Amino acid sequence: MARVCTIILVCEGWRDSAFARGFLEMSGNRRIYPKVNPRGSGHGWVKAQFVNEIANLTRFSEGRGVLGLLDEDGDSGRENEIVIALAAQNLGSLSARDGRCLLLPTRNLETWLYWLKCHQNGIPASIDETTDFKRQPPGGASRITDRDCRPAGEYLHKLDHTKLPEHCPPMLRRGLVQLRDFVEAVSR
Amino acid sequence: MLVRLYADNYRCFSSFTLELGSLSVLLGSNGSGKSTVLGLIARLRDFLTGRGTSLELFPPETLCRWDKRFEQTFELGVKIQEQGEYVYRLLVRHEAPERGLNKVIEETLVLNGKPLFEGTDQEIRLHNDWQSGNPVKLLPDWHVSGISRINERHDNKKLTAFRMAVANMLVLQLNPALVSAVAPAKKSVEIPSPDCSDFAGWLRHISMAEALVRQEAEKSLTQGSLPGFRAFQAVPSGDAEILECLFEAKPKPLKFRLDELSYGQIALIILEVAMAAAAERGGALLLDEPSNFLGLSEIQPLLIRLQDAALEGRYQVILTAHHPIAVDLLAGAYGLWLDRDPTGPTRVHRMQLTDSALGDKSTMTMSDLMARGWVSTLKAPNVPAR
Repeated sequence: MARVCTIILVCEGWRDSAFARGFLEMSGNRRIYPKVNPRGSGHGWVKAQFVNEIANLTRFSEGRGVLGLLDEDGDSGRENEIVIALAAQNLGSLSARDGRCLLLPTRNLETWLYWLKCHQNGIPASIDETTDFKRQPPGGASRITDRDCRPAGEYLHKLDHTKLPEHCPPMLRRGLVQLRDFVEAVSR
Repeated sequence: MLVRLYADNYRCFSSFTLELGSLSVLLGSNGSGKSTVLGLIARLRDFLTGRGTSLELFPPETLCRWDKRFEQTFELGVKIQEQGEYVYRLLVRHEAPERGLNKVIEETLVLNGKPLFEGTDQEIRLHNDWQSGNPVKLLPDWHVSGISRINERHDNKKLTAFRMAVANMLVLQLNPALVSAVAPAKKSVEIPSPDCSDFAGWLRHISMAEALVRQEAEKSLTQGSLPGFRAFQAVPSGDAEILECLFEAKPKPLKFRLDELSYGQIALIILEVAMAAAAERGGALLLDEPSNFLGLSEIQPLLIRLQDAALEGRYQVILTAHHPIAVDLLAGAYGLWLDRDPTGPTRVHRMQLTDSALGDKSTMTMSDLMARGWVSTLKAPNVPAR
C-alpha cells in the first residue's frame, strides 16, 4: 500500500521544513510532503506554491491541509497578498481551522528558533522582531545552527499557548495557536 | 567526516580531487565516475581495516587505460572533531602488471600536519600520540596496510580513531537480486559487502554486537516505512540461520524469507538498517542510487531523512543520484557534477541553481535541465565544499 501524504508543507528552505516537521511529527502527523524552494529563499515561490497547493486540496480528496512558512522580513503585506490571491481564484479564506495555515515570523524563523532555544534552557531572552538573528546573534550568543531547527519545533509542541511568557514574540504566540488549530483540522 | 578524496591513475580518475561536505550528492551522466567514487572509498576502507590486500583491491585492471605509468596514488582527508584533520596517503606500484603483482611503496598518516605513521616498502615508523621520542620501527608487508596491523594501545589512540572512522564508512551499492536470506554460522559480517548480498549475516552481527541498531531499524520499519512489517526473526537451519520477516496478519503473523520479498521491500529493509547503524556509530553512509527499486512515494521521505541526519550532524551522507526527485530536492545545494569524455578522465564541478544563473522568471527545474543536458549554467567555479 502506498504512503499517502495528508499534509503539504511549503517553505523557503530546509530549516523551515525541519522546524515545522518537528512540531507536526510530535503531534503524530508523519505523512508530510515538504515542498522546499530549490533555489533557497524566495517568498514569491512560497506564495505561488502555497496558493497552488490550496487549489490542489480542493481537487484531491487525500490531502487534508497545507502549511506554509514564510519569513515576513519586515514586510507585513505578505499575508494579505495570499488572501487576495486565494480570493481571485475563488479558493476561499485563509484559516488554520480549515487546514490552511500560514506561519509568518515577523523578521525570520531564526527569531523564533532563538527564543525557543533560550526558553527551553531557562535563559532570559531579549528578543525583538526587527533584528536579523540569522546573521547577528544577540549579546554574543551562539548562532542558530541546523541542529536547532527540528528540536525547536518539537519543543514548541510541548508549550501551552495560554501560558507563554510576555516576552514571547507575538507572531510565534499566534503561530502556536494556528498550529494547534491546524493539527485539529487535519485530524478530523 | 570524509572531507577529501584524491585518486591518480585509478580507473577514470587522473589527478582527481573531490571535496565533500556533511551532505554531498554526486551527479553526472552514465560512466562519469559516480559509482567509482563510492567503490574506491569502499576499497580504501577495506584495505585500511585489513579486509583485503593491495593485490585483491588494486589489481592492474584498475589502472587508467590511457596512462602509461604503473603507480597509483590515493589520499583520504578525514576530519574528526576531537582530533583534527587527518591525511592518509597510499602509493601502490604495479611491478609486474601482467602477473597481477603490485606492492605498497608508501603509506602515511598525518594528523594536523604531523606524522602518526610513515611506511615505505623498506620500513614502517610508528609515532605515538604525542609524536615524542623515537618512532617504533616495524617491517612492512608489501601487500597489506601497515595501519590495519597496529593493535590499539593507550599511546596510539589517534591512529586507531582514524581507522575506526574509516571502518564506519558504510558503502552500499544495493542489488536486491543478490541478497540472500542465509547467514552462514561461521562467518561474522562486521561490514557488509557493497551489494549487501551478505545482509542476513550483517544483521546477525548487529543483533549480537549493536542490539540498539536492530531495535531502531525495526521501530522505523513498523512505524510506516514498510507497511505491515512487524519484526525480524532468525531461524536455525543446519549450520546457518535463515532471516525471516514477520508481517502483521490475523490470527498470526505471516513469515517470509528475506529473499522472498520484493526488491523494493528488500531495499527498504537494508536502507533502514544502514541508517540506524550510521546514526549509532556517527560515521558516514554512502549510497549509490538509493532511490533504485523504491516506489515513488517512498523516495522523498527517504531523502529528507538522509538530509536531516546529515544537516543535524548525526552522520555524513554521500549519495549518487539520477532520480528527478533527488535531483530537485538536493542538487541545488549539495550537488557535485562529474564530467567525463568517454575515454578521458573525470572532472568535478560544484552545482548551483540560482536566479542569476537562470533568470528569475524561469520555471526550469534542475532535473529539467539535466534531462536536456543543459548543465553548463549549473556548474559553479571551484567553490570549496561546505
